[in-house]
Amino acid sequence: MKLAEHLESFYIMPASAPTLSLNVDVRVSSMVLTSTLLRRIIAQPEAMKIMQQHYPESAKVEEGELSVRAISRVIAESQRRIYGVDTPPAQYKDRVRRALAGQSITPSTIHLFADAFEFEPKTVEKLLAQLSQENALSSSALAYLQEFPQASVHHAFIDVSVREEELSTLSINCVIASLELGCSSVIVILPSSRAGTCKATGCVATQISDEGHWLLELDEPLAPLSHAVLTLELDIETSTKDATHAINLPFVGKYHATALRVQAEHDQCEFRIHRQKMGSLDSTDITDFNRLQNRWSMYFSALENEVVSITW
Amino acid sequence: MQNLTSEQASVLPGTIITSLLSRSPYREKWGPFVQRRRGNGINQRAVATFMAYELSDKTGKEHSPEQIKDRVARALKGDVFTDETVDLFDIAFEFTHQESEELRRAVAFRYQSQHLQQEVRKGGFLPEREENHVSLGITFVMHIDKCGFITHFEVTETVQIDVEETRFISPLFESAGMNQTTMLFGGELVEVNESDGETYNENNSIWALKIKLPRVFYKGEIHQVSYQCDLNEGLDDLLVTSTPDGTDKKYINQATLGPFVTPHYNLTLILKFEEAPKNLTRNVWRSLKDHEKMVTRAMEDNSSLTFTAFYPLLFKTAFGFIWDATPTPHEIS
Repeated sequence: MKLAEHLESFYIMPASAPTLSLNVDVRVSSMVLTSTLLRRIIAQPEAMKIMQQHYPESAKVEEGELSVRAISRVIAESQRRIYGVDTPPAQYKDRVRRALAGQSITPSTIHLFADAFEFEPKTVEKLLAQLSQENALSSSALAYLQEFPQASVHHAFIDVSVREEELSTLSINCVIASLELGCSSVIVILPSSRAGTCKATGCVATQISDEGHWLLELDEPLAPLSHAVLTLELDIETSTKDATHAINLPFVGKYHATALRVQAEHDQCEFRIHRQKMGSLDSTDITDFNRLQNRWSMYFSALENEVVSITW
Repeated sequence: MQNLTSEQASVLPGTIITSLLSRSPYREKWGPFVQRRRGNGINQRAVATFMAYELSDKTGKEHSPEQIKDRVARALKGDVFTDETVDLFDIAFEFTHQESEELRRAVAFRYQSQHLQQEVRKGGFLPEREENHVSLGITFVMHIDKCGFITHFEVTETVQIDVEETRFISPLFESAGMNQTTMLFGGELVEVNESDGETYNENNSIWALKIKLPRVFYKGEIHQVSYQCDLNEGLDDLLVTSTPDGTDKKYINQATLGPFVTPHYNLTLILKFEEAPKNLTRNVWRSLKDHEKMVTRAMEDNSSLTFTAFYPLLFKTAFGFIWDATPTPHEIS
């Protein structure tokens, strides 16, 4: 079983998220991280309970959904109650939306949220401290992003082009959808890259670990349940053992509607394609679907926590 | 289409809808309409009665339980399930975003795996034509100027070739006058044809592009093409409504996807406005021909500039955004 040998050396994501060994020189926008932290805090049951009292009765509320309108109402109500300030909720809407999207947060916005949702003093301190760090790395925010993804992949076209024996190009064009809390950044796992650089559109891509973790900071933060197109292109390494070459494509989390194409520039390249659940040693040979000389294509309605390995 | 996917088994739409209607809060919705209880299963008549009432209220058009009884029965059995049926259930029961998307994905998967497109080529809106590929995913990114006119849009389409030795593909769409079409990647544009086929807006045309693929493609192969269309939308391209006395004219613009002659999968529409749009609504139509809207939802957050929608499957229905256009007095005169 040559395949198993190849897979052994491959980083397999266990079901529970591992501790990330992060490179230390990564810079992430402090605004994005503070926003992430803020959303995480108001998604807690205590804050959600306060928020739910401010939904209109007829509203259809998704579990964990943060409504800009409801939050604005909570803030207006608390400002009136605590300070006697009579500002209509609509005037807080833009500020709330920008804060949740990670576009703009000021200390006074943090205090508005703190008054409204009755944050503990240490929570306020934590948020203010995060905000004051000049675009610094917060491993806790990154760990949070990894543990609670903010987006899922709705459709992807993944193109692997084998250029030379040792070098291939991976191009991904995908539509991502933010979950209920909206999304400003995503962590993805990609095959190991030679240069550590990735050409991206729609986001800034930074490699944050040697195991292939990349942080994608979106150009425009995504509102809850909305969509964006991202493209990524990087040179990936081929592992070679006993004259067999292999590329492993990890699909961590769920990739819906994924179209995969593999092609070689040079002739006489007979691909074998296997599909394997992460953490399992059994793989399924899916080569015979759509096999052609030097080329192979397949559409998957979903790929979830599995590895597609390409050998030749 | 053979071997489109490698999955052997997938959850069927009938199973999903049965499971949804069996549990809270949906069971409580149709429960009160049960007249004669037979066992603990789902009572089709009660479901149809509840749906008829809800649909009548929400669409403003009278639905009777008799009209939808058969559709409900077929859906629960999982025999016939279209995106239109999903929309009816969705409007009546108000499923969550995830639930309705899961249902749509299951319906899409069923279409894909049963090679239905051969049989279902009837009753479409655009002129019939022979397709040499299946569309696996299309993303439209539309750019709208300050007055509400669409200036240009980019289309990225993932296709699976369905015919041996394919050299060209021909995407087809309806739009206002086009200035220019530019290939972004995936092939070479060799022809742009305008035809007078039947369109929703009589001032629009049907456009057919002929794209030469970079090489010969064989059945089952996947490819992606992308192109940009620059439009010169004018007053003629807007829909006009006026007050009964005809004094106050209101102009409306729209971006719509479907209905398609064949099922189309994974459709994303992204609208990027230069200025916050006025009265933006998201709509689903059963048929564009009779302009019958199934559902209209106002977009709440009007301070945003980007609005998006995604459908795992569009076939019998069309969806789109509508907003107010504000042409300058110069353009109006």
